[in-house]
Amino acid sequence: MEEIELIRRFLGAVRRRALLAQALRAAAATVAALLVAFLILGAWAGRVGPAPFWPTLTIAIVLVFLAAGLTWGWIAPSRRLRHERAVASLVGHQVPPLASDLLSAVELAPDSPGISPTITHAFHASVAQAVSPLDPRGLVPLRAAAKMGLLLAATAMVLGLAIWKTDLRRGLSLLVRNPTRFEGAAITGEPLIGDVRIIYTFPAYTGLAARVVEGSTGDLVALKGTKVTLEARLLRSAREARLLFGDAGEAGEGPAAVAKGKLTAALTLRDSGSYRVWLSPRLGRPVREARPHRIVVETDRPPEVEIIGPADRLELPAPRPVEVAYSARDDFGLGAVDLVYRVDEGAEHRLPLKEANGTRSAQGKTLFEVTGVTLPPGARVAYRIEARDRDDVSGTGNTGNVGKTGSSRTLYLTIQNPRENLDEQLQREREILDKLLATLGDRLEMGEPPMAPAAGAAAANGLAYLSSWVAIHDNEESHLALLGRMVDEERRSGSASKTLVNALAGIADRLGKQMREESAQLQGLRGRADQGALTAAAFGKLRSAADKHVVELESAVLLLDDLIGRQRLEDLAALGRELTGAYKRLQDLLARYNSTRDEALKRQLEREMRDLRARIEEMARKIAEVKARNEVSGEWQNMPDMKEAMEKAAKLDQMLEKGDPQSMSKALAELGSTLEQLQRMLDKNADDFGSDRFPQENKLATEMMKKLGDLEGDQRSVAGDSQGLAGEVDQEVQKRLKGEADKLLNGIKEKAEALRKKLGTSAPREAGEVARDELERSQEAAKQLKRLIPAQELAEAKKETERLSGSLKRMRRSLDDRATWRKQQSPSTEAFSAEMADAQKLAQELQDDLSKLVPRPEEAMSQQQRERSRGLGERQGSLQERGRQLADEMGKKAGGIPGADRTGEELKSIAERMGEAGGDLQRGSAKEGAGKAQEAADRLAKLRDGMGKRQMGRSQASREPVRIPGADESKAPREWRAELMEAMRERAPERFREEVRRYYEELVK
Amino acid sequence: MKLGFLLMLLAARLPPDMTEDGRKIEQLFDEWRFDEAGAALKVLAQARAGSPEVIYLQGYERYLSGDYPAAVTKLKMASTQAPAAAYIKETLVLAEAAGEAVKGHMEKRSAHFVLRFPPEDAVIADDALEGLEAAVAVLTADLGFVPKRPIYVDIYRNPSDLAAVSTLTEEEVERTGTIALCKWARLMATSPRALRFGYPWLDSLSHELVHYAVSSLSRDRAPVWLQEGLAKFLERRWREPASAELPPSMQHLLAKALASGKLITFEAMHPSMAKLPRAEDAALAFAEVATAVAALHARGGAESLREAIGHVRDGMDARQAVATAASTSWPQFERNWKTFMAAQHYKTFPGLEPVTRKFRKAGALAGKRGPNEDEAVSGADPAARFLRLGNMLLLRNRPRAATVEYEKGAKVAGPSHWLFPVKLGRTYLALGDPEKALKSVAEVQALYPELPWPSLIAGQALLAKGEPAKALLALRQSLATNPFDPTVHCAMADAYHKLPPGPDITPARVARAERHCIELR
Repeated sequence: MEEIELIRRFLGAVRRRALLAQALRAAAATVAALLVAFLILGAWAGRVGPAPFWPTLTIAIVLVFLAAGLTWGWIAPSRRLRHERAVASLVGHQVPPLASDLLSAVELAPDSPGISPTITHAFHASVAQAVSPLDPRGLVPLRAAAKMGLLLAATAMVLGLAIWKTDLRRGLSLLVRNPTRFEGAAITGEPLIGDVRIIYTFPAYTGLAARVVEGSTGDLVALKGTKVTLEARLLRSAREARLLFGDAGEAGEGPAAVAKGKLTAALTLRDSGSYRVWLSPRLGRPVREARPHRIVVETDRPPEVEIIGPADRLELPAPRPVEVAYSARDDFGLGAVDLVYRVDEGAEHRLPLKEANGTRSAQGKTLFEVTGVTLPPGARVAYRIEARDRDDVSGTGNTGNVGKTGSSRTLYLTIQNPRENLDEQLQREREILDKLLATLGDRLEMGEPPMAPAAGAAAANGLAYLSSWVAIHDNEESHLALLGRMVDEERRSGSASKTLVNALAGIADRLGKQMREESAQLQGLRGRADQGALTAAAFGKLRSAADKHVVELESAVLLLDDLIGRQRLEDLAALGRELTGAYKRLQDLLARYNSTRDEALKRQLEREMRDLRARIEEMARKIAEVKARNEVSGEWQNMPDMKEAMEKAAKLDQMLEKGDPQSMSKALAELGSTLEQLQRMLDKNADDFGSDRFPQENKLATEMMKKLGDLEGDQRSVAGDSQGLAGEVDQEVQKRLKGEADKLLNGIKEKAEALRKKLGTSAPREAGEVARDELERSQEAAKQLKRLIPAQELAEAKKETERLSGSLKRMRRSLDDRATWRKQQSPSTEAFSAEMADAQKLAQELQDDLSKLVPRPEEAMSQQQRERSRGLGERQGSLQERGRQLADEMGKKAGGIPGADRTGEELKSIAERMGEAGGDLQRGSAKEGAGKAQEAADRLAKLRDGMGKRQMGRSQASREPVRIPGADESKAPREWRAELMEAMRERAPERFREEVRRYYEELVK
Repeated sequence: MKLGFLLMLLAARLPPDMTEDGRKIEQLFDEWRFDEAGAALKVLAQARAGSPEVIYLQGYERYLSGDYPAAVTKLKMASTQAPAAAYIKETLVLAEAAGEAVKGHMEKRSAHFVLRFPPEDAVIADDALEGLEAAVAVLTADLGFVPKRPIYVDIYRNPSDLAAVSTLTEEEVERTGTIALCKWARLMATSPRALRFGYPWLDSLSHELVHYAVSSLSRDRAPVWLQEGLAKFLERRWREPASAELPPSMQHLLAKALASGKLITFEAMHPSMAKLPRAEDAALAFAEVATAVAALHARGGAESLREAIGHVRDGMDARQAVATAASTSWPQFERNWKTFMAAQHYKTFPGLEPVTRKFRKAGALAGKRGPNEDEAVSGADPAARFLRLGNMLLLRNRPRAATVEYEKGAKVAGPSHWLFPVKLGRTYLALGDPEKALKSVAEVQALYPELPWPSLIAGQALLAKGEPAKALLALRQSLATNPFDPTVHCAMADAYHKLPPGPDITPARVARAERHCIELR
């Protein structure tokens, strides 16, 4: 290689090194400058706030800085060092002794004219030799670049620390993005709009009319889904307007039209929040309101649902229909009301109860029965009422249907298994009977003690005889223990009648006494045996006591046998009654099906038929078992032949399949006649058995029934006399008002109609919930009046009017309170208040008119009638006393007559009713007293009949529906019940709710 | 039986709007001259075809032939045409009731009989037809009775059916214990299942057949006393020779009456034995007329009976006819009869309690169980306690203990009560002591032949003792009272197997006994 090339290579390395050092330095400096610039801009932007120029400014600064850096760090040095001379100078600057030679060497080309190539070459060689030890890194150090790097690091650190400051961070963020309208607008504390008018168009499902609010503040308050039209006068000129939603415009914006100085916007309310008006002037920065307008979206509450069943946790011996009452209310209108149930952990089923079609409240009663599946013993059914509203705005619920769902509390019913219980119980009783009979057999077969000629043999035989006695004694003792356990269990479970338990306990007691005596004697004999003095004569006492024991044992087995027989026959008779009950239900269903041809009814018929057939089969099986086990002696085995009933049921099934109504009716009638015959036979069997085998009980029961019958007769007499008196009083009143009555009545009719019309409005939302509720009650009362007045049920009508007046009064009070509180009422509320004031006036007039027609008892009665009424009250009082005494007597005889305890309880309750009747009569309220007296007489008759059908054992599972206590039987006046039911609607504190419910139910009873 | 209770219905309601020919035909029917009546009716039908009278008589003819549906159709038609004719309506009611009472019945025929019976009583069919055929054979021999047309025998489920098809009320049937009738050319009987202890149903059917024969032979002119006398005397002829033997209950009454001289006179029996003041008097009257016929038979044999019936048919007074057949005067016949009775040495049975026929309650009937001995003691009876205890122990296989209870019961019930000896007999059989069993029931078997159980126990005991021939006699007697007890059939099958085949022991009978033994269990 030539020496000049070596020199050039060296210079090239120096050049590259110099360029790198400069580039690094310039880059660090540029970045550091940018950071400083960002710091300053950020701080500035933080102060100034969002503005559209920030991103532009930022970009410009970045570009300038980058251009400067590039020029300084790359373009300028590259240009400066582009010739070798410049590089040689740079080196010469660093190594002065070499400066001249190096520059000369660069300038002196090898082929330079006039200069000897050899000299040139030698020169180049000496310069090359001189530069060869030089390192370009040493010649061009990076110190300056490093320093700049340090500066950059320091700047970055400062920026890093400063960025924690929110304002700076916010400022920095503003540098890189365009602001929203909200951010971009100027804020003004002055209103931008005035004379605001808001039109609310409520969702269709609410049925509410559109509402216009004039002079509004701009706040929006309405139901979700409500469409709002906002109209306002612009207080500043603007070319564009918007509504900005959310506290910082984050919820978006809505368009608003601007025309002729007016702003118009439309929106649908979905969520609560706020909005601001934003205006863009023709010139200048847009402006927005400083304070937002509120948007309050009111919630449509889900329906409130109440359920009332016979009990919260109902245990039934077998599946039966259960009466369920329900009420549902919604603030805007109900949709479907369903009964929802679930068997154990199975899927939920839904039974539609009612389609309320938008009414605000719905109530009703239904007979709930699980269909489609057979509820096994132990099955638990959870059921509740669900009501949906018609809210199609809030989306669908979990049922997939429109509307929100409200649910009542959940009630439960559990299925017991009484028949199995009875079968088990009878099985145990039979086992004891068999054991006692075996013992009786052993005792009867014991015979006389053996006599032996030889003393030794006599002793041995006597010992064997004694051992046999002891074995029998021990056996009987274990049987009695078994019996005792059974009695204890029966007492604990409380499922059997007292009479049965007492009878079983009596057996155990009597035999126990015999056993104790025998035990003592056996002990004595054992002593004698130990002494070797056991002779035949020694058994004399034991033998004579044994005769008594045998008599007792005989009585015990006979009684036990009778008890078993009676329970079994009663069970069969109850099953027979169930069959006829099922037949009657079928008859009813068939009649309905024949008239409607409803497929659902047909399916129900088929289900009932299956059920009936299963019961017939059960009955056949039981009868066969009774015969096979000889549970009752032959004379009581007069059981019906079930074959015929089964054949007829099968025939009916076939007819049902064919669907020929006439044949079905005929086949059902045939089956019914067979079942009724069967029931009669089983009833008679059970009755005759009871009379024959339990004559003492029968005598007692007859005696008690006679007393009940006497009481009932006397009660009927008081009821009749009271009714007579009430009738007379009514006539008197009618007579007194003769001529005037018709005129008065016509006036009442007209007023009632006018009142009904007046109340036929709906309360504005502003009127509040109390007003709405009271209006509803008033409407219901007006509806009742429409029925009662033409039916001449004037006393009832009067009470209804009183209640109506009360409702209207409460409504007025509530409206007044709200008016005071709100200060300013909407015109619609004012109009409503005025209407209600008129209605109240009308109601008062109506009440006054009715009071003329229905005077108070003391006004209506003559002196003599008042005395008669008092006399009747006294008679009723003495009957009440007799009732109480008889109830006590019943209670005492509970052990002797099955069901006497329950009869006693019911009698006590009847006596109380008698007392109430007596009180009414004493006060001169003949009509009320007569009603109560009549009710007491009817209940007495029912009680007496029930006593005739008393049962020793467990009662057979009935198929009759389980009613809500007091729902139908109640004789309490309608209005009183209605008030109570209303009161029930008022929410009690959660922890008292159940108690309150029970209290009301008891009251209504 | 007790035909006196049946009023002469058709004679009493002479149809006023009938022609002379019509009345004559009806009379022929009522005189049991069915062939003549049928021929005359054909002639009348040709002359007055479609007239209500002819339709009525055709309906009546169908009714008497046992074809109730056809009779009802005809009678309804006649009644529509002559709505005022009460006699048509009355006959229609009877025909409808007769049809209703045998609705769903089964039917079995033999040479002379058509037996209609409830399906659950099928067990009686073969024995009934056998017995009736045997009875018709002896009546042919004794009285010269030859049935000219099939004789319908209807078996009813309960006494109310019998009341419905007859002119008796239910109350009368209950009170008098009427269980069978012969009227309108057919035999009618209530099933032995309807009575607490059954009843001698084969003798009763035979008894009614005698009435049928006497009515046919006498043109239904024999008075009730003669009818009953002949029927009572001849009712057992199908199974034993004629004799003056009376059942103990009748012997007892007759012996007492003879001793006290308080017989019921024939005058008192006229016009109806049902008019007698007491049931006991009626029973005594039956015993008397039976012995009167026995006396006639003793004097002139069966020929004298035929002669007496012939005289009656010819219009002679019954007493005169009997006296003539006896070749004497009526007063003399009466004297001879009393002497005859005295010669029989009828005995009284102290403590005998006549078994009154009691129908079972509706429930028991619907239960379709057979007669049950336990129904002899009511719940109120002090002995009932021991009966139940004994039964309960026996049911649990404790026969020794059961005997102790039954013995206690027998002591309480007294010596005349038949139930406890029966129970003890049964229990001794269970204990394998037939001798003791036989001893237990011997007395009650003799005293109460109308009960099935003493004979049953005796039959089983005799069988156990290895005396099948004697056993078979006793068992047949039991069967003739209560055919629904499977043990009778089983024991009979057993007895048949132990006896050599003969005219009485045919393979058919053996197979029948075996079948019933299984089916009735």
